[in-house]
Amino acid sequence: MAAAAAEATTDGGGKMIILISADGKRFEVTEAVASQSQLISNMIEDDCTENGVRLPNVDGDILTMVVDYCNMHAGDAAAAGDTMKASSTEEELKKFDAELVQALENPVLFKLILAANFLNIKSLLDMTCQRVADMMSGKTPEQMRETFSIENDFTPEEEAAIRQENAWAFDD
Amino acid sequence: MLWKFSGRWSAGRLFDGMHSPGEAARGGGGGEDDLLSALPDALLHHVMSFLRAWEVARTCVLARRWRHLWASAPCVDLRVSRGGVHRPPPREFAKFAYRFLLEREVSAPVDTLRVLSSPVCYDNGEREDYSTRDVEAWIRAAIKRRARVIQLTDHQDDEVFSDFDHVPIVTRHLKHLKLSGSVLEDRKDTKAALFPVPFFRNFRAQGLPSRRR
Repeated sequence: MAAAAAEATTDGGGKMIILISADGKRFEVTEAVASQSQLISNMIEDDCTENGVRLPNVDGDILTMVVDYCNMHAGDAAAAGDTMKASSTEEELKKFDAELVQALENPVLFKLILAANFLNIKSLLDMTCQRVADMMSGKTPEQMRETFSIENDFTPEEEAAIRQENAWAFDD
Repeated sequence: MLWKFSGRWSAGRLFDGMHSPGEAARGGGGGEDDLLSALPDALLHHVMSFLRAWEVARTCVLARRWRHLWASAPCVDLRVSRGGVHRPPPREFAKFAYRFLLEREVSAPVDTLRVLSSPVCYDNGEREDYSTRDVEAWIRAAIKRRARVIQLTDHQDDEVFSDFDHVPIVTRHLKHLKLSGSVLEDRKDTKAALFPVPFFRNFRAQGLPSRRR
């Protein structure tokens, strides 16, 4: 079935490939969409996507989001030649990205970072890591610990010593 | 590069992280897992690349996992900014910047340096406490640490820009030199002489007068 689907073509004429999540969910996407993942792009080049691409590190719910993201961004390259179209799509994409990343809850955000890293999708990795950085930015270490449930495993003495040693970093 | 592990993260966590923490969170109740610290060093460094150097440095106190992580972060962002999302820079900024570069892991390359030109006067007469010579010294330090990207942006109130006579900008590691703002306004014609462009795969100069006006 996967092989048959892999041979199928879309309206756009692109070859389809099947992505299979850790929990066995299958996603049928065009090569253009899938190749935003450098990992899959390399696999396509090496001709080893025929029986579907198994992604044992990525859960179906996360892969759904990744596929949505790639579907939204697949237009990038195609629209590049058409400046007018590109600029309007760019606006839409920015809005889509902003909404996507704002809506993410902590566990999902980190799963998405790991998935983007594994699949090697630079723009998605940048966007999600930027989101984490924004959540750290402007915060005191105490507030950072609270935001991310970081357990302070220093003794009070150790922490005081580190602050003393790195006083130059805390001078404000 | 020297990687320091505190023992809280091991290679296996990369894959565990895709499942167990999420399931624990879905199970609800009680405290959340620290999914941030569970990320591998490279990803935490990537997160740090979106923070300013003074925000990166103070992560050393968060927990053991974070103790030395900042010191090998490959991106050093020294762009002073006030009133944005970032923490205001340290009061004695030049001192901080030198210390930051000095205290970094010696063997860790500076992949990217981002810096604003200087100095500048504010309306209230307050002055940025670093000079063009300092900026040059930081660029030199980054180049010495095999910098691949140097991004130099002009401070919004900067009037005079250095010709960077003192920076040995020719290096086999530097691939991207990004100059933006009015940095090149008066020296558009001389930039080729100042920076041997063919050495760079990507030379980007933004905001030149011809484009801006």
